[in-house]
Amino acid sequence: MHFMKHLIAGAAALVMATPAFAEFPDKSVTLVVGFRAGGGSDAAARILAAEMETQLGQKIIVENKGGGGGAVATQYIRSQPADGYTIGFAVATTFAFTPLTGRVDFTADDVDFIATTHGYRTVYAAPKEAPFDDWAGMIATAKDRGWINYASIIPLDRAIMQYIGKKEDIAVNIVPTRGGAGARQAVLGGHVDLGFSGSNALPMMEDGALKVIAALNPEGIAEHAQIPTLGGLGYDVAASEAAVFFGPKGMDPAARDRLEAALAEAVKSETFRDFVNNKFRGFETFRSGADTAASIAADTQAYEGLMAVIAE
Amino acid sequence: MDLILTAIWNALSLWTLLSVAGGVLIGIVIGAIPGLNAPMAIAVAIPLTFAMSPLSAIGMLVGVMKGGGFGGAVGAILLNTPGEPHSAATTLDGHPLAKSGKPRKALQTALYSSVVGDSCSDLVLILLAPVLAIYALKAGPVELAAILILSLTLVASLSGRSLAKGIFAAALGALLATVGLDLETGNPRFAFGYIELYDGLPLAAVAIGVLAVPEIILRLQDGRQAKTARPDATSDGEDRLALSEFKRLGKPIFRGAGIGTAIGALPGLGTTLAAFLSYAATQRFSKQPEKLGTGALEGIAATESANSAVSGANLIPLLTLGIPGNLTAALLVGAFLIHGVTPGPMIFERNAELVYGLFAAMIMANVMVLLIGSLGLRVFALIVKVPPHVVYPSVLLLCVVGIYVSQGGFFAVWLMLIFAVLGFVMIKMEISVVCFIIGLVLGPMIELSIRQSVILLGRNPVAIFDHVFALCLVVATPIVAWILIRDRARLSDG
Repeated sequence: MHFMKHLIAGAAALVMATPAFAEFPDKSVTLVVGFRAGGGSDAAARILAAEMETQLGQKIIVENKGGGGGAVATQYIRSQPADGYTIGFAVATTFAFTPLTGRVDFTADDVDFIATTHGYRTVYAAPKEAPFDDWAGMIATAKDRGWINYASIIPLDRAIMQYIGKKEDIAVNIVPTRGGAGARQAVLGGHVDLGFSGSNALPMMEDGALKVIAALNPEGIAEHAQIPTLGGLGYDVAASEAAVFFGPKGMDPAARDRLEAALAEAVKSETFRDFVNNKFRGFETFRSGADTAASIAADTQAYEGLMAVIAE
Repeated sequence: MDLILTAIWNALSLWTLLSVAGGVLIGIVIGAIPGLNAPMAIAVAIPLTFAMSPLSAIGMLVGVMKGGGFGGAVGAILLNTPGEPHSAATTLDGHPLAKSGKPRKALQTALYSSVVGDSCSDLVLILLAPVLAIYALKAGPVELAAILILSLTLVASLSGRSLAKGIFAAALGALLATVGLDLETGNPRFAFGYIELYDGLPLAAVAIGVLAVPEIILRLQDGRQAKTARPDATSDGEDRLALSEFKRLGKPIFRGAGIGTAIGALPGLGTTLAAFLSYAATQRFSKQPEKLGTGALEGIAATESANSAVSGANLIPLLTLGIPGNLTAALLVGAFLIHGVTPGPMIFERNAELVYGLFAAMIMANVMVLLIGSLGLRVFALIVKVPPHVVYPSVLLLCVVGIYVSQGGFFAVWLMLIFAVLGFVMIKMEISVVCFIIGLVLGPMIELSIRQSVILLGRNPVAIFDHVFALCLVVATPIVAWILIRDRARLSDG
């Protein structure tokens, strides 16, 4: 009996000790992308996954679980074992803004962050035949006419526009659109005065198809210094969007560190840098897991202030 | 002109030809599998193209798109499993014809109509893209709302014997389409706490649930009652589309191509509307309208030419404005991005060689669909000869696996099964499942465009007079409805 007990205890100890001996990862890792296949976010995730494979020496299986701006994937990841073999890809606002809307039952504290891999740039675009050329002109038009029509895509851009409307005392007709394509269609067709857009408005502006009058991301648009940021225009708001890798709460620290290190190398690859700078037209930025958590906490605070102003 | 010819010449390389052919093959196979569809096929193929040259990559994806379109028809006709809602229109006549022992004839009709429709709209794209794009942009929320309301009146004629039941089914579909986050407030509607429902009901899961699963169960039931419920496929001579028959399909095919091209060029309307509108129009103008729905070639030709025509025309807003017209096109934008091609008004100057190469690849893909599709016909038609107790359980299994993979896990599979119960009840009560699907697909589009219009005109109601075209359509709607109701009354009297 005694012997059996020892044997079982020994076997259990051996099983429990195994992860410490085996180098992570010793099998394939599943990356759950919080967006549907085919978009810019998905493309970046897939390129990074391919680079991570080289770094980790294991297969990375990419799965798409789109919906709710990354919320569906986050919810799924939270239900997975925290061994580092199932990780997620979403964006900073999934954790910094979405919880404030009261529609999800997670916050940034319910996951462990692995890294931030690149930043997104977002802008306000106006039709090329718009009666104004810059931000001041837009505000003047709005005051003069009494209102402006604005095409919104996500809850955050809507909130920021409501904030601006309040600060400037202008009536903003917020027209909901489905996805970036809907908003772009409204802007290009001249059906609205202003619309929210990702960086894909930049090549269109360079072609003269539309006007870009301000950037929502605090970093601004490096190659077009004439485009002001919201901060530069004197508003105390910004949309900080970035790609975030994360895992379930309480992730095995060794696995988390290994994944962070692999991503730190992956973002240096030529393919990825070319994609971010020239195709996706975002910007290069890398943050460790700890820095990601800190920056998301700061964003959350800023958005809470924004929501408080709107609710006043 | 020199540039265009060079581009086309470059596109005619063996490598491009192989990628296009490979794409078409992937598309047909994935599209034909119950539960999977063309967008799924593209998502699968995108990573395959990472290492290719931009032209081969885009050529391959265009091949997948076109192959997937025909593949979807194969599933719809032979197994009554539409992978996308628009294929539901193809099941109306395709499946009855296949069941009556003429699967090859049904598939041939679908294939040839689809290739003709596709080629027509490609031609329009190649010749008129920049001009059309400018006109298409003029259609804003107000115009789209008016077009959608008129269309809904036209497709009401698909409601089967009882108009009231058809309207009920469409309303039920539209009601279920409200599931998800509210467009303006972002509040969840009928989501019952499931984050998975925030972006709405997964369409393919619902369509397969309502249409295919009850059919499979009914077939199995038939099979148990009578061992010979399935007719043996007739001899090759009868199960073949004769040239004279195909010639008679000219009208529905070209009408479908026209409707599909027009709708495809307007972003935001989509394939389903085109397929059903073309079907409704064919029913209206057919010499034997009563035959539609029982396996009429006209019905298959109308829907397949229309939905294929959408895919070519869809590239008009995509290439020139970067606005994808449907999910498949949205995936193509992503692929363009990966390969460094930015859609936009300057694409013909900036990426001229690639764009004209793409045009060449599209034509190539049409030929490939015809070739590979024709070779596949014989193989596909064999499915009908497999005994029902083998084929239907396998199809059910494929539906479950397909929906699991493409629509987001077990949640979607459960939804599919719940909607199967609804579909079963609707079939038993003779309520049009097709009207339900139309309501489900058009509901969100109508809601979006009407709410946008109300917001846009809210502060400035006088602006409605800037939208003369939309006003005309709104005025025409009750007149069209009256004509259709009169026709119905006459038809049921006669």
